Amino acid sequence: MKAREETRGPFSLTARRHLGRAATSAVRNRFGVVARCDPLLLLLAAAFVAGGANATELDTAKLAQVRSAVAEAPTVLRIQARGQVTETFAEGLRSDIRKDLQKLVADPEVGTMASAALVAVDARDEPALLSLRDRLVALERAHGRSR
Amino acid sequence: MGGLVEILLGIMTAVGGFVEVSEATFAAQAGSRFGYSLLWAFAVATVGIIVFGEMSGRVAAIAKQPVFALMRQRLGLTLGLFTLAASVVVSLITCAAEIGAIGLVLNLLVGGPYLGWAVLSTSVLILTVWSMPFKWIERVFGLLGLVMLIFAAATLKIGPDWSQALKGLVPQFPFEASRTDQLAYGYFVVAIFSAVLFPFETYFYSSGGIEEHWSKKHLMVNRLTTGVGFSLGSLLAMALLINSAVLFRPAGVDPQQPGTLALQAAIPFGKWGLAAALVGLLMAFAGAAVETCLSAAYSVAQFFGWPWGRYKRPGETPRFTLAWVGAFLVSLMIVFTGIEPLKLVEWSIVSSIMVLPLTYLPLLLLANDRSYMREHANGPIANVLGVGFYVILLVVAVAALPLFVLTAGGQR
Amino acid sequence: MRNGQIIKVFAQLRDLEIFDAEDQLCGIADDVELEGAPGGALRIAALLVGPGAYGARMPRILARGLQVVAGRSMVRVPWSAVDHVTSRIRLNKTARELGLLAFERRLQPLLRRIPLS
Repeated sequence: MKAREETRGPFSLTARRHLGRAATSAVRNRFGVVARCDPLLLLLAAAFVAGGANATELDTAKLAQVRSAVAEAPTVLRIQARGQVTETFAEGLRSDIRKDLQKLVADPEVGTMASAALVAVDARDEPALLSLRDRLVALERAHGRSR
Repeated sequence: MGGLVEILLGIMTAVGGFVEVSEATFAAQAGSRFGYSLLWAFAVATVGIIVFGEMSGRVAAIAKQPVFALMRQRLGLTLGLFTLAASVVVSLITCAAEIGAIGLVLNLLVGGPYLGWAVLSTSVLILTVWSMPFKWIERVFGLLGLVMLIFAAATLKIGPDWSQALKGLVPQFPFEASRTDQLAYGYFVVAIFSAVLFPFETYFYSSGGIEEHWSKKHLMVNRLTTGVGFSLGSLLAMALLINSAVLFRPAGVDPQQPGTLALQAAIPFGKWGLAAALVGLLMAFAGAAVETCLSAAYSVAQFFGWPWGRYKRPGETPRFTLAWVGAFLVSLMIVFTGIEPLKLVEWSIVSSIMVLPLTYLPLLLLANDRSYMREHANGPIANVLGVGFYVILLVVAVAALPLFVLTAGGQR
Repeated sequence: MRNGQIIKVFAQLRDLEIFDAEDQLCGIADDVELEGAPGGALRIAALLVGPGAYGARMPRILARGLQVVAGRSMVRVPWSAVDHVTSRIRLNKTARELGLLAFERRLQPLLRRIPLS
């Protein structure tokens, strides 16, 4: 288990020293992300700063739940557009995805991310969902969960 | 000719009845998280269920002893009662997970409220078990479960990297991975063993042998049903893992709901593949609900010496009948608490693996007892495999709860 | 078990299934009643069947909990009613004659009112 050090936030050099190599690359990536200006990504970054999410204490289980729901949504959109599934099935899966995200909206650690994901799911914004998924995967890697 | 038909039907029933909601869920999640690297866990666990399944069928045929009657004799009354209580709780939780999963699948297939479907499907299952003799119950659900072969067809259509998949059959451990991933990998090994070696499988199988009045001449049917049937059934579970590794892993999807599994057939085959997948899952879950429910009733009736068996009319075995009807109703009540099927699956997996050593010990002891089994007692191969797997089960049982807690049920 | 055969009473008799003369499962040998005085020969007097019998074999708190659900009934099957013992106990009388399966006989008329029972 990683040492649970108090840090001053995800951009802190103290965090970089104590989180290990995997986290360091994520910190570097996170700086790169902020430089981009994707609205959803800004929302995500804001979620980290505003929520005071401590990089060493984020629950990877909840993070994985958000990431999985965000990843499934564009898959469903794509196959629905291709006519490979029935409307009943697609809407049923989308409803399940919404329910999974809804459960996490009130969570102090991942709530803002879940809210951003819900917005993207409701907007059926496939590029935003894929982008959000990639960021979440990077965040999971920073917490020792591969993928 | 009749014997050959019986063997073929037995094998096909075993294939169609092998996969249930726990196996399906963990196979898909294992594939999406770890690629092909957990295929070996399915292969090894399948050898275990073949060994113990064959033993339980042989004990039913020769000693005419169902598993739970052995429990009292070999473990004693108090420990046997504890095992009974734990097994019944596991069976009820698992039955509830299956009923919940049926509701979810029907909701995706035709729409409508999930709880409404759970009530309707429970009623249909009660009616089915009430009106059908045992052989028909086993065969109907087992054969309809063969629709799950659509997932194997999907594997062939998707075309995975077979050389990589074969490497997954070699026992391995991700030493180079992070601690988080290592713990999760360990948990998935435990979960796969638990799902494949669910005790209700042997309770149902051995009780079925007595229901069908097995004798010495059924020993070959027993060997082929367990050896061939369970092996082919395991290939179906592995297909779910492989499909998940190819389709879900790159996309970052961890299947949290049974409905997501149907995407494995929808992506290569479109709507008809989706329909077959949902129907196959429905039949597999329905069959498992019946098995778990009857297993709970068999366990209680055999432990207390009540007349039991679906080869008799419900009115001839009143307490056994009330037990299995009650088991369905209690499982439905668990569904109504709102606990999600996946959460129920997690609990049933971890509690089941902790009960497994107590379940299989009496079986191992009796299968070796020549005063009961005569020349059909365990030979050296059966004993080496039986004792070997028993040791594995002990290790897995001890590791189960800590890994469950540390990994939050494999989600971390 | 046949005449002259040796059996271990508690390992090979207690907790065995009991089948009556009509080959019907009618209970489990929950306990064994012995008769005889200390220092003299002990004989098996009867098999005891029912929650009243097995309750005495478990921790008191467990027995009390079980008896709330299952009651305290017990049927005494005289040893003379036992025909032979193998992996099962075979009786030479029917369950009805010995008072076994009374609960089943009470419930059967109720269940038989339901179609297909």
